[in-house]
Amino acid sequence: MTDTLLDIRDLRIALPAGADRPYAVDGVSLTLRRDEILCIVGESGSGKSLLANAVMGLLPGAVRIAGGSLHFDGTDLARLDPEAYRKLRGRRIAMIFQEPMTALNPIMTVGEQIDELLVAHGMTDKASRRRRVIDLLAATELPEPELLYHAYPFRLSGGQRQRVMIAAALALEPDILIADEPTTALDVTTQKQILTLIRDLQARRRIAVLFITHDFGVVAEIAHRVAVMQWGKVVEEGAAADVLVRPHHPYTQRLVAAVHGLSARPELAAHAAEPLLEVVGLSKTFRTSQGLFVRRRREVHALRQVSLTIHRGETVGLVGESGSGKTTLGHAIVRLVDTDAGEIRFRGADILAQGGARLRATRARIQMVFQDPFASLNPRHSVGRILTETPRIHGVGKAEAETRARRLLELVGLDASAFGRYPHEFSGGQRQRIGIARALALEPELIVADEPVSALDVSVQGQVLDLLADIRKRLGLAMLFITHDLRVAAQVCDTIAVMRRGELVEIGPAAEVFGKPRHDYTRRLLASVPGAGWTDRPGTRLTAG
Amino acid sequence: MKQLEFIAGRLVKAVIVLLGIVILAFLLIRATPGDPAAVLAGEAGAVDAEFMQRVRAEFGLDRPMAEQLAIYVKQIATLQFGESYRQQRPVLDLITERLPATLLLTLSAFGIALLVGVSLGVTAARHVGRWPDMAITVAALVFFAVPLFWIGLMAILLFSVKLPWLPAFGMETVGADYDGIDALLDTIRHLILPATTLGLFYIAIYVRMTRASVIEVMDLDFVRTARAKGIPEGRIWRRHILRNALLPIVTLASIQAGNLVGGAVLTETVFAWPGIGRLAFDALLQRDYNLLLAVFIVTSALVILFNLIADLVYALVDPRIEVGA
Repeated sequence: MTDTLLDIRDLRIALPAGADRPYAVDGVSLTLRRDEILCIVGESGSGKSLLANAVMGLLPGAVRIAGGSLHFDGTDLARLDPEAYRKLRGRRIAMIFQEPMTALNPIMTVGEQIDELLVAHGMTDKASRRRRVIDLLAATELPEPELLYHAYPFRLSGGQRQRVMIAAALALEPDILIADEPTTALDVTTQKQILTLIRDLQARRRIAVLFITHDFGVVAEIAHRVAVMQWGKVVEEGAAADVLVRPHHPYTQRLVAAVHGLSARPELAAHAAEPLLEVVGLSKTFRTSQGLFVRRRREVHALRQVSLTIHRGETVGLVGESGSGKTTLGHAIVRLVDTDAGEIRFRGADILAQGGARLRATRARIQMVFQDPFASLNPRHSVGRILTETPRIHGVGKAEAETRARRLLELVGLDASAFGRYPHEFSGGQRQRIGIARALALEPELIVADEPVSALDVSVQGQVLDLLADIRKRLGLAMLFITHDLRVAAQVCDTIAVMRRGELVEIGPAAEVFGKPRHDYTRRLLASVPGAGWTDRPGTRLTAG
Repeated sequence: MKQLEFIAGRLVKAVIVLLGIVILAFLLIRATPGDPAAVLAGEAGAVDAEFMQRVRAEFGLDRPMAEQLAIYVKQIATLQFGESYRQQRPVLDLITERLPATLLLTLSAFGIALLVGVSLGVTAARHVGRWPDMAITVAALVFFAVPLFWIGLMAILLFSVKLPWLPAFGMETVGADYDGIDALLDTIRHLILPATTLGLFYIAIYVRMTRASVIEVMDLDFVRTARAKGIPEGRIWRRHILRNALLPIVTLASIQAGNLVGGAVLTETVFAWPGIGRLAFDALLQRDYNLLLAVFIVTSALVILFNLIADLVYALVDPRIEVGA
């Protein structure tokens, strides 16, 4: 038995005609050995996911292998007939995916979905199948496996669903586990648990793991070896310890540098003492009620007595996991949701009491930047219209609005020719620049930015964050920066506010919150940041600039 | 318990909806020109004012509109639908006589539409972009666009006149007096043309819905998961793709099951099918208010009933939906 399980040689995967390049994967050679975790790192479009799908024999219809070879344990995968390939999948090569929320069939129970895999690979005895499924659910540390067997996926959290996926993938003790960004959609604390689980199971069962990620923090947590992909080619490969500390290729250096440490930037923290926005005792409960005769209530406390002050020129980072209420707070400040109790004072006036013209005037001073640069710009409006529409509504003349729009484009680093073009002609990072320009069009004093970089590739994230920092310095803006990513928060925020289940559990200067966290939950969040041990232990990494 | 509460709630709403329908239908009918007195007088050839006055008084049509409505609602509340002005028989008897014929026609048409439509839709989706898909999509579009009555007439021309294979009208061969199995076969022979005609229109809808739904589900993540697990293709189609893709079809089908009763009016008229649609058509021409209103109420009740069944069925096939939750 050889040590090499997977041998990829000079693999080329052709894209359909009309794509941005002829080959998604262009001459990649890699080996995966028994008992190791190989991380393939790359940004969107690098070809890393197609490479994984090629190994599984699950390439999308229009995409095909155009050259090279794929050998698994001595078998040429290209020569395998469909039935033999099917028998390989799930039994000897298993795969888990990025999006646990949609990766399970919504109308089949958790137990059935693992059970059908055992049936498909020839396990006939029903009782022993059931025992195996329950053992697997227990092995992936899921609570009450007996009950869970009969549960439908919608009852499970994202982390639990990913555990079910892992249980199914490991059901027949495969030789290779392919994990395609398995923790990207999860909260940090959940991500930490899943990474630990994969690492433990890998070590215990001595399987080979092909782990695909865009995040060098995750690489630091889990990888033995790393291959970095850019535009379909492997640009650097080596032991994780080497690549993380001494990246050779400029692209790798950029990706590694994009993973910032958790210490706050010292040059921040200079802002006026004058409060701009004061949130006092803000509460919001979402209620759903059903039933004709007896009203049954389900209540979600999105905000509980939240108080927070943002000073002129200050950037407050609002961090927390999904469901913590941070987006609700952001929406409440721009009055996109109504609240139940509390006050929001902007320049001393309670904006919750405002309506009509006064509210419109306030709204011009508080603007929002949204998370998804693809969904938040109207695809049928030209960039010029997007940038001039609101100023025109607020009474700015046409010529004046257009002049301003062109100045804004320059400010956010886009060419003035963007004015007449449409959002789909731009990349994600460029669109987010348009989104920022749109928010600035009314010359606001406060920007509420809700996860403005989390939909972007890491290298683009850096550019957009630099832009925000630059704009804030030049225009003296205050910002409420909502993010789930503590590294991002560390880069741009003066003050950090930590939310958990609707409550503000800790707030303080960034250096203090990151350096000496007072609340337990904050400590847990910080400990969960992938690669924290790597970036924040002095001397273990080269600080590339 | 939850289910019972849900059904009780829906029934209360149904009564409110029915009351609204009664009032609306009542006012709409009164708003149309002509009344039963005029029709009867016209047929008797005695268009004199005194005769019409007498007929109107007899039916209570001379009282104020509000009073007529109040009387009618009160009658309906005690399930008295009254007599047909025209046929001098209880309206409920007339409807219960005709209802089975309509249900037979519509449910057959519905069955054909569902079975054929869904199968063709799935076939089209499996060959998306290739010739079977094109052929099915185009055919579906043609039958969707062509008026129902025209298809009916052409079908009669082809299969009854040119090729004397099937009877052109009615529900049974007049004067044949078949018994047992022969009577059944006779009815089926009569059923084929109207049921297929009525079904064709709906087939088109199911083809398009199913095709779109299957194509969408085919590309979902959990189907990829199933492939990665090494599940055989046949099972992937049955358990993962079709079961999910058919959920919206269940909704559509149950809403349409109710509407089919109304949609049968044209078909029943073209094929002289002795159903409730014909009854309504004739009642309208004769301004037979009681009969027409009763048909409205009964068909509306059927629609509401089918919708309720739809919700219950939906909760049964989709675990994410809990009745009453």
